Amino acid sequence: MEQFFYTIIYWVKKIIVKTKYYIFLILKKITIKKRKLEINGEFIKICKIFTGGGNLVSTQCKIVKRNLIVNVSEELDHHNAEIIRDKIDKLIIKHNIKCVIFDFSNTKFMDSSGIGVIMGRYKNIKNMGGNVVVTNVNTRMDRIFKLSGLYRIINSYDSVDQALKNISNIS
Amino acid sequence: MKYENEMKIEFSSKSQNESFARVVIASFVAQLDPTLEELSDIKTAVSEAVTNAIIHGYEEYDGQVYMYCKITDNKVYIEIKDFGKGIGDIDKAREPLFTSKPELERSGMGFTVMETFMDEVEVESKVGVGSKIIMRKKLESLEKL
Repeated sequence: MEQFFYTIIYWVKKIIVKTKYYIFLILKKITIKKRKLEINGEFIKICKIFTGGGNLVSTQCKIVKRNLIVNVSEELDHHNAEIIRDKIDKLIIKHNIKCVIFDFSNTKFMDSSGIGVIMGRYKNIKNMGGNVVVTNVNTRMDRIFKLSGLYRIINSYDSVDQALKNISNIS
Repeated sequence: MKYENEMKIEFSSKSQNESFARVVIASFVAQLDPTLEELSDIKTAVSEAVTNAIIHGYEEYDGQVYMYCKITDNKVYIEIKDFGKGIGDIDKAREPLFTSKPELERSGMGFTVMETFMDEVEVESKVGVGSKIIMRKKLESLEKL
């Protein structure tokens, strides 16, 4: 008799937990939809990756459909590269990113560590059928990219919009 | 009359100091009134050398990195020194795209960038003792004066 009683309590608890979970899922879907409606029908998520350093502009990421746009900070050296590469990798997996777009419009300094970050992301995402592109590359960066042969595998565009257009044409 | 100036600094082998080293060399060379491009060239080369001292020389354990710079008229002479691991095969290390640390996503372009942006790059190194990178650049923008 006692056994039966405990079994019933167990199942009631289980049902309550499951119901709470499903309500949570439903609410979450509603919230996501709201965000979609709020931002012109496109799901855009923005997150900042702080690399420290006082007044340096931090790296910002935006997700448009399955593209991750990385607005790289003012300086991309070994120190900053180490910080942003892990965060980018996590975002790629979490949001099932197909293409990473590096936007260098705010970047005033970059050394060969920047090449390492780009190549590393390319190697990772290529295995998942993805792609990496660079945009808003200034003359110096262009020189460094050419030196390293980066353009043999990665395309460069003048603007993020142009990159997005070309990506959707290819895929 | 020759114009001469020199400076020497040392800092710990933390990656945060890469940015600091760039600022120091830029502010020291600025007294020659170089073009923005010449300044960026020097900053980039110094950034590469300092990064190498930190990740390869000391392999991210604690050590001191030494930077020395001497200006003579329009010529810039820079030394970046460390007392770390040292380079076994210097020729191999200077090969473009060669890196002993692919797991750290190093592109192997450090020396190539230094050689592209500076006029001369010399490497002195002994395994178990340390390494010294010597770089020279003549500021062409001042030649005409």
